[in-house]
Amino acid sequence: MHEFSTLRTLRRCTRCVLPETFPGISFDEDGVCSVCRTAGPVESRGGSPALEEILDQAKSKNAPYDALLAFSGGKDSTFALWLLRKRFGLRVLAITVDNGFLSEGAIKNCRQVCDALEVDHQFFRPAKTFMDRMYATSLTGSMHPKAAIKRASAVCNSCISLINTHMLNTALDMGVSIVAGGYLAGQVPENLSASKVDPKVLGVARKTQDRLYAQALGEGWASYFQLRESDRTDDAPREIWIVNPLLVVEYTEAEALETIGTLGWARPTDTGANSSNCLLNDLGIASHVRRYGFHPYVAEMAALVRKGAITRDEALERLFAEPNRSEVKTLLARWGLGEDDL
Amino acid sequence: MVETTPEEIQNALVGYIEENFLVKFGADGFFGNTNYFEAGIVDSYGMIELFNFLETTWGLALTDEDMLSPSLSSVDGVVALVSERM
Repeated sequence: MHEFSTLRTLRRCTRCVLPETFPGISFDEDGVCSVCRTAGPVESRGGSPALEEILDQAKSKNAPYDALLAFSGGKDSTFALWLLRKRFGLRVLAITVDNGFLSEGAIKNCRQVCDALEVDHQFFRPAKTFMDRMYATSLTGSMHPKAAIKRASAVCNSCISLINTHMLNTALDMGVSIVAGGYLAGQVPENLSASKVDPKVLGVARKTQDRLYAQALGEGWASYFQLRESDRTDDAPREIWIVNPLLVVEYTEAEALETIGTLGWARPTDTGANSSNCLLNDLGIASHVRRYGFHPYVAEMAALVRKGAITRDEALERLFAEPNRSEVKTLLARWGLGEDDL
Repeated sequence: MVETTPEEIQNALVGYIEENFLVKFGADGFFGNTNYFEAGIVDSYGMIELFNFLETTWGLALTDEDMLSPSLSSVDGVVALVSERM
């Protein structure tokens, strides 16, 4: 078990912020990490057209919307929504999956921003009993492949998987060809700025994860985690473009905040230093650090530093911000857990 | 220089998988004929990363048919496919 205070004493890359405890990391004689040394310009999956071309092609399709956006009400997905709507001129349906722990400030931001941008908006709130079971199991079990720990905490990985499944299934149901998100490098593969996927292909990689979810979560898992059309037997292509504009658009965080401020977006005060929408964030951070000895947001922060969106000092400030221990304990008690269960 | 012999291809691919998916070849249930998707080593995000690695490292243009083929599900399969196409 690792104490949060140890994060300050870890050796870190002299260029980004990845620590010595990050899986697979190494440092050269100048203290630069292996990720920085091999990082290159972000490109869409080999052979894919540029993001603008993809989005232009989507506009011509006879669908109720050009794109669906996973909209948490946080600063990143809000900026992504602004980009899609104002810079790329798309007809967007913003979809918010309410995990039961959205900040009231985030919910208010959702409504305010969608009104300002004149976009349609849907809330989807999965059943509370299932979500409680999902989070409690995420904290105490091993529901995700090893490498997932580099991207996010266990509770976040489960939630993101549920959101992504809902978004893809909704796109398939509605015949919409673009599913967009406000994900950043470190949260998703860097080449996911624009990647075309067939659910049948994704299904190949999801089978084992589906089995894990079924075993761990029991009744109801398929409603939230099974990707439709992943096991279809016909050959007709069902292709969806997964788009994350923040991976390729040049911006600084200050510019993004200024932009979304004009829409009436205001930072919530109850979500901790590393989130602008979810009340579970501090719990996710505390559990992840305790178990693995590195911050679940460190890859994301490192990528933002490399991109020039934030400074190294700004990244470290967020990474060293201690989770609210009282709130963490209250949340754990909700599921009959204590810190020793993490 | 692009790796082109079967041994070079295997070394490059195994090195990539070990580094990115936190497993050791020859242990952790990861061998040449292991289906790394079914073994839970590579998830759907990992699949996208892996296919991008294959395309950019060896200049492949993977079709959906390729991606559904068992050839891309194991180290042995990838080595055979890349060797054939190089």
